[in-house]
Amino acid sequence: MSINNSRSVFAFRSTTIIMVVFSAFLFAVACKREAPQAQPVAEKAKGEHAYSVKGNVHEMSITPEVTNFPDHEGKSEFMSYCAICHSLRYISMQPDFSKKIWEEEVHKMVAKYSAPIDSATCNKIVDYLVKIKGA
Amino acid sequence: MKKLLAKVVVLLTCIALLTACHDKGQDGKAAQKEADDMVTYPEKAEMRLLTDRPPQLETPLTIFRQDFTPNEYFFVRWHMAQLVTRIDMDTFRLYIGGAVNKTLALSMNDLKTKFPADSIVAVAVCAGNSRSTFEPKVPGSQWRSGGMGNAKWKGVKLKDILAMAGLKPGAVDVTFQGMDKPTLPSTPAFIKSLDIAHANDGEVMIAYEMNGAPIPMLNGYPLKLIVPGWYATYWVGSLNTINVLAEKYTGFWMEKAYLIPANNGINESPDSVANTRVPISYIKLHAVFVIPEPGDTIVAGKPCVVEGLVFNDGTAIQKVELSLDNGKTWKETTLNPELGKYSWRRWKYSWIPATSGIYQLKLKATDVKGNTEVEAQWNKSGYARNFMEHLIVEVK
Repeated sequence: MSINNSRSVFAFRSTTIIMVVFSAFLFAVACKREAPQAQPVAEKAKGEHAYSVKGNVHEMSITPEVTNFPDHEGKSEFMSYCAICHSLRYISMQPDFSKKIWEEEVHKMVAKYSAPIDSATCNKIVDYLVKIKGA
Repeated sequence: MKKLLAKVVVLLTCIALLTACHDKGQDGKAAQKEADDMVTYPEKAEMRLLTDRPPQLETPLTIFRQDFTPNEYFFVRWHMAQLVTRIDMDTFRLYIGGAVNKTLALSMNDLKTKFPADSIVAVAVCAGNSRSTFEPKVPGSQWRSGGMGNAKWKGVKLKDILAMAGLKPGAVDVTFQGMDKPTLPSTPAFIKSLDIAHANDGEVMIAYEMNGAPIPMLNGYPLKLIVPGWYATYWVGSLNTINVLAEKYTGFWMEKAYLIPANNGINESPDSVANTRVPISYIKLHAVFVIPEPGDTIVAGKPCVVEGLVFNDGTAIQKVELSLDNGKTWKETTLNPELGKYSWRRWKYSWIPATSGIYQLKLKATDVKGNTEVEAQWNKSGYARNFMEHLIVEVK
């Protein structure tokens, strides 16, 4: 019994060590890969998710990831307005686009999806998008 | 001299343009496996994360080696950030109203006991599936070919439900709405419509089961509209409201979104976009590679299976041809037996590459009506891919 316990503790420790070393390795690889791009998406926190069925009640929850963006003029407007209807990953996942396309996209959010953004703020957001995802 | 110089400049520009217009990876380098963000969401296995609020998850290519896409790997796509996160099946009802003789509020038990059960194998294909391959790039979720899945659906024919409600004379359209909601009340709710003949065709189904199990919440539990042969934008999930209209439906998600150029090729160019646009509908013919995957090692002189899937609007597939030399010569592949009219179909080819080097693989599907895949296609939304898939592999 005691042998079994000590074995499992040992197993736990070695798993932990392997996981830590592997995470460090992954982190190092990720840093190396990210380095030349320098621009968007810096860090991400893994979200927490849950699912349950109790009787006839089905429930789930998803916590979106936190995505960090570079500091430029317009960042706070970008982060607060764009995230009303969707997470900012909708932007970090996009390829780089010309200013014309970013203008069309922001205009679409206002005209078609009625995002409450005035035109001065739209311009700021477009400029920010061009800085982080301009082509 | 000046003329010669001008000619050289024109020639170089042409070469540069041609190179720029080619598919990703067409610079002669073998396609590489890309690093992805993977997530494991409720009731789902590890999938490629496109977006998280609202969620969009892509099926890993390897899963397409299976004829039926397991529920936990089936792609996820929502439009509204306020997902349904809690459903009490004791109080859940499917409401049918509008131009009907009798409005209905059906429980899951009603659906399972008051109607004959129906089942169908059908492939769901996201309108923007493979959008990431459009050049020049277009805004939107950058799906590879994993925005699709094949499943056996079980449920009730929409026709039978409409018959129980009784259509009033003059019914024109039927709308479908799920329980998910936009963050802002002013954002148009996600409502899709079908015309009455389509809704009554005996194929459109309200599904309560997917591959023999309840539909995962992220795929539309408890009910999902199945529109065989049509793009998955119509396959409304967490469906609870059906409305019969005596006039044509003109809501946002039919009149302003999911529109395609009104030409057979669903084609336009960035410099001259189509003036006339219509709602997307039928799934366009397309064949994809499943094996090899980008970055796989292929060895010269050894047999290598090349395999993939082909799908369309339900028209029978005539052939899928494979080129190993960038379209110069074509070889017919072997089609697996059909799994159903609206299922995807698997094709295979046994290849023994004679020598090492870079090979440009290309696919061309043809249906029995003579529809075929095209060399080039582009539209500003990246919808309805109908251009041939191109895979560059290295044989060692």
